[in-house]
Amino acid sequence: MSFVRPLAVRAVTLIGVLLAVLVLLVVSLGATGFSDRMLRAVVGEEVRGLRTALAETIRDPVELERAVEAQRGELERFYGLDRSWYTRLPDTVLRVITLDLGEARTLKSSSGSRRVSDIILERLPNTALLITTALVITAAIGLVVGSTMAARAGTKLDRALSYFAATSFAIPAWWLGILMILLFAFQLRLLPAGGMYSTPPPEAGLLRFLDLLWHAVLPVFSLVLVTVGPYLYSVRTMTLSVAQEDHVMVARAKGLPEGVVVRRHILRVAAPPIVTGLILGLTSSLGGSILIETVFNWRGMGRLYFDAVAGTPDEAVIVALTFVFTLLYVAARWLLEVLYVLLDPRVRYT
Amino acid sequence: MTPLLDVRDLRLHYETPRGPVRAVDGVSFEIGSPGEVVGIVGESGSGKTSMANALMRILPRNVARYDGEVLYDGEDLMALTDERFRKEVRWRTMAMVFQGAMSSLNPVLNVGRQVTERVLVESGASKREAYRKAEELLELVGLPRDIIKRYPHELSGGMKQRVVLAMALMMDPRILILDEPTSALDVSVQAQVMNLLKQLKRERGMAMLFITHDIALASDLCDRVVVAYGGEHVESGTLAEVLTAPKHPYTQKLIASIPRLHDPAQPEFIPGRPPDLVDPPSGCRFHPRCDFAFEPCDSDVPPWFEAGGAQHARCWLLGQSKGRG
Repeated sequence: MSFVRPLAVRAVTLIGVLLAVLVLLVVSLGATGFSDRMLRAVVGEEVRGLRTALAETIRDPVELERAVEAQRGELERFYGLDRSWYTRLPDTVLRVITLDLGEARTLKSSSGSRRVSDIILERLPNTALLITTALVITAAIGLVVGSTMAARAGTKLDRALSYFAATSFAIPAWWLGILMILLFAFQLRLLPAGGMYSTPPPEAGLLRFLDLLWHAVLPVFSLVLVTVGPYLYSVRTMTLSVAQEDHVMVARAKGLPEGVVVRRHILRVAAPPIVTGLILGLTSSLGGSILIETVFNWRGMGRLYFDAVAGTPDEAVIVALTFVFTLLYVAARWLLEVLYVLLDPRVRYT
Repeated sequence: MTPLLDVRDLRLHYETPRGPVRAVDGVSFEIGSPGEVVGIVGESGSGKTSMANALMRILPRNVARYDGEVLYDGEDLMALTDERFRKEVRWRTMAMVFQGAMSSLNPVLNVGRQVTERVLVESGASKREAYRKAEELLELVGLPRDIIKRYPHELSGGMKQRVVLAMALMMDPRILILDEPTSALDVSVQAQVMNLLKQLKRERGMAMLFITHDIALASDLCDRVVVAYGGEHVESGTLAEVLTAPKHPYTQKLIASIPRLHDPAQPEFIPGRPPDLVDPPSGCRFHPRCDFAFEPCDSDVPPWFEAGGAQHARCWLLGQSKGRG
């Protein structure tokens, strides 16, 4: 099939992107000394604990120091601090690529597991719930409002919504989140300020799910509000430019009903860029989720990222999460390529 | 006998910040019977395309005035509601081939889908039947049958224009409006398309309205010619009359501007600019560019004068010789 080759070429390119991101991760963690500092802090902490334990059995201070130093050397070897970052970190990355995400140092899953894959898998559905809900709402509003704006380009409605789009684009997600909490949680007391469940959480089942949705309203609303503006504006621009093309006039002259003209000859032709906007919006809300989840104390991957970077840094989790985020990005991009090939016959042969 | 299509005093003005643009300003003509080809000839900006769009009711949003009569077999199409016009007139009574073959097709739908879709929106249409007819028509216009599965970007300009032509024939329209159907094509492809049109006229008795800036091209196909200038029509007659004995000075200039092989004479050009349709010249709209302009031309709008045979022209020169008509 003519589809296979272009999609394979793009898959290879995207794997290249994945590798490039991991290389950048290694360099930015290693060359800045962040990795070394982080590991040294870990070793220092463990050595402190060891010293008190050893002090119980070894009375002679010189002997104790020697034992402690021996232990420290062992720990440094264990964490790879005796090697430089550019030999140590690539090993970590290669391990991560084989989906062996390793163990977290301080973070744990709710069931107490230290395995990074357990921790991430526990968080993944929470982030997915947030992002996909926001995405579906954004897509629906964007398509309907965007094409309405295009149909009424130049009217007051169009101009007002264009201002809204610019504002929506300019507002930082976290700031909007805080504003939402102040307004809806503290002033109006309509919605919870954060977290995923009430305390105490309702029994499992429908009530628990409804409680989850109840807590999801504000974060989803904030995400939608910052993504929908640019999206509906791009839908407007795309449909407007396609609507002025000659083939649309031909479609009308043919005597097709207006609905068919709009769907088949305007929206269908504008679909590739519209879908691109949506998928790229999805990937950018992956990044946005870090801030939104932090602001709303939503236990998803974004919040996990924040926890792994802030406070006591957890290198294994940072590397693993970066890998997973990049993997999601690359998967979304590839999905976009597939859609593009399906939607636009012109890209099938390149 | 009622003519097949009788257009009377058709007007289409567009609203602009400067005032209304009188793109089509009271034009009248008729297509007498099936198989007759009427050519509308004029330079860019003379309102030819606007007139075609006005006939098909393809209107932009800034329409300031749209009226007149378009009688098809005696029935006024202007009186139809938009919905009835869409269902009964578009592609059934009149189909149109637009200027610019390159952009007339939807880039993401294959040829078969675009050619058949008008038939298939009718209730009770059979898909197999529609595709069979599409294949026949594509073959008629000289395209291979497998083109039905191809996409526009895979076709050359000439092929696209033929697809557009086949598409226009799908509902067996009575009248085909052709708006500069060959202006985007190179000369040899243009000749192929012209031959195809002649074949349609000869074998199918297709009535056509052939709009072009190229009077030489019009002479290849048309039975009668109407000359458009500045949103109005200035001369009409049979092809032979207009071509060999043009009465209106504008038509004379137009014919003199045709370049000829083996003729040392330089083709003439028409001095001055086409008239501003927001604020057209008073009297005869051609008078600022006319070599023969005299006393009534800048003040009085010339009526149609008979010029012998089927020929008519709106020029005071004719009034001078025959007395005011």
